[in-house]
Amino acid sequence: MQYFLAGGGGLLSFETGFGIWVLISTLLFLWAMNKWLVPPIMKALKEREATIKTSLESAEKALARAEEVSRDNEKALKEAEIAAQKIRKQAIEEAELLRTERIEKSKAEADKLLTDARHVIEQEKKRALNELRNEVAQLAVEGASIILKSELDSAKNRELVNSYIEDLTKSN
Amino acid sequence: MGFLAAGLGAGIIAIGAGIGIGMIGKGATESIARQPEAAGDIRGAMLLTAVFIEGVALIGAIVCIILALGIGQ
Amino acid sequence: MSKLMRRAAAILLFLLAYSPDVIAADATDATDVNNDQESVIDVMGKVSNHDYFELPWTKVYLPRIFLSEGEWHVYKSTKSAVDSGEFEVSEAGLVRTNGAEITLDMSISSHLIYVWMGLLLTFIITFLVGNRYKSGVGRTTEPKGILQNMFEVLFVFIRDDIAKEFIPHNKYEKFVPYLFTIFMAITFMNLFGLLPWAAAATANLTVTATLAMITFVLTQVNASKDHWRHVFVFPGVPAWTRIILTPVEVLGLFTKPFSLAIRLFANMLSGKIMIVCILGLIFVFTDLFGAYVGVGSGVFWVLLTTALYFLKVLVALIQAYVFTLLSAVFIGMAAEEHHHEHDETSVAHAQNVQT
Repeated sequence: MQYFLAGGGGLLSFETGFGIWVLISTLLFLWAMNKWLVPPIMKALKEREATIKTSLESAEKALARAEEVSRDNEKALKEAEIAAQKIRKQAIEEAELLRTERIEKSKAEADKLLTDARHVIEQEKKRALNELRNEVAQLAVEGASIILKSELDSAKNRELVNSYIEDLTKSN
Repeated sequence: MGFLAAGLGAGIIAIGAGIGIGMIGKGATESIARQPEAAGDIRGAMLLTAVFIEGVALIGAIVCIILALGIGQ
Repeated sequence: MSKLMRRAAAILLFLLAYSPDVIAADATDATDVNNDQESVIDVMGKVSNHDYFELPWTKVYLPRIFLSEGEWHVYKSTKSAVDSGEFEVSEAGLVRTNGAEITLDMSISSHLIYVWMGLLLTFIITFLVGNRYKSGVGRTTEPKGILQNMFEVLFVFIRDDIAKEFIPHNKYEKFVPYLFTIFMAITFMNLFGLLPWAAAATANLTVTATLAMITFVLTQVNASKDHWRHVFVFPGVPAWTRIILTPVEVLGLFTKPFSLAIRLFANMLSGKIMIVCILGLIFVFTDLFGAYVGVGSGVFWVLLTTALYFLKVLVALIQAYVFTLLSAVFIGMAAEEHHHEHDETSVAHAQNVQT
């Protein structure tokens, strides 16, 4: 029963000497922990946490940057595509224009050639006609002179023939 | 008489602490069932509250021990 | 089947270890029941403080140190103290032969050894892991090895889940060493109580009261002005209620460490007493119904004890956690600074109006 005595050496008593021992050893130990043992651990843990935090942050930043870059790339690609399309379109249009121009030009050239040819032909024709007329007139004069020699004055005949030929050309 | 008081006291302490801790457990399990994602926080709060009740009950139990054995000597 | 046989053999061996005691108990109780009852089932002897350190095979007697009449008396053991003629054994321990009072009994007792062992183990582990951190392992990389990993789990748990959560943010770092130390030391002390021949130092009220006292002093030293204001002057309540509230609050200051000490003490004590009592039931049954019933029912009691041991491991850890947690809660509650911005701004406003 003595163990339960609340006064001396019992279970529910506070033993002063023992308490002092516990207090001294615990305080000494706490002091050592506070001074030497725990701070380096705290520091190391904090350091590591800081490292992890910064690396996480930098990774996030890098990710954001990569995303931005890829977005930029995509944008650039799209722009380039649009530009290329534009250029192609322009080229096609230019080519079309060129083609039509060339066609027109060639047409015009052909026309010109045609008109030139026609002119030449006309001139040739005129000349030929003139020549022919002269020739015919000559011939007729010669013929008429022959006739006139035979029957009439050649001057009067030539007049006659000329008027006749004039009529001929008019009717022509 | 001291033994009787100690026995009765211990019994009443057990009833009181039992009801208290039982209610905490009920509340905690219901909360966990409702919000399983908050189980950790609830468990911590439950332990803290249960510990307070336990402290009171243990002080009562110590008084009972003193009663029972103080009479005996 | 062979597994079952092996288990049965193990239990039988366990019981056989007790059988000489059983017979001895029978023999002594037959002669004088009242005289020698406590030597058979010495429940309190298992949990109380001794002048010897018990090992499975022997007892090591510890030094006795007394302060009496302003003089220190140091002896190698209780026996040498008695042999010197200065002390004699009495009902309440050693007393002076000349009737003088022993002012202070600073004897190294078994519980003190366990306190030291708990602190020493904490010291060794912290020292080893601290050296690892110092040498660079775990500074920027992950921790390596079982010891460092386990240590870090506990340390980070104490720091983040206990200190950071309950103590205001700008102050918590100061208390991490203390909280970690008491957590580890109490855990080791509690776990030593699981050894059959050892005792938990925390099952001694002196130890828990001392630890609670340290928490109490830390709480009051680090208390903020607001804490004291809430204890003595209650902002925002009628003046006459202070007559009731102030004594209650002052009492509350002291009940906190008291309940802290009693909780740990009672939990650890009851665990050990329960185990000794349940194993003691073997002897009680032997006394009541004879050796065969006692040994036969022993199977059941031993199984029950095994279950209780698991519970005790759990309780040892939980109580260490609870002690640390409540220390942090008390310190945090006292160190917290409430902001009475509302009052101050209204006063400032009134002053502005006056000028």
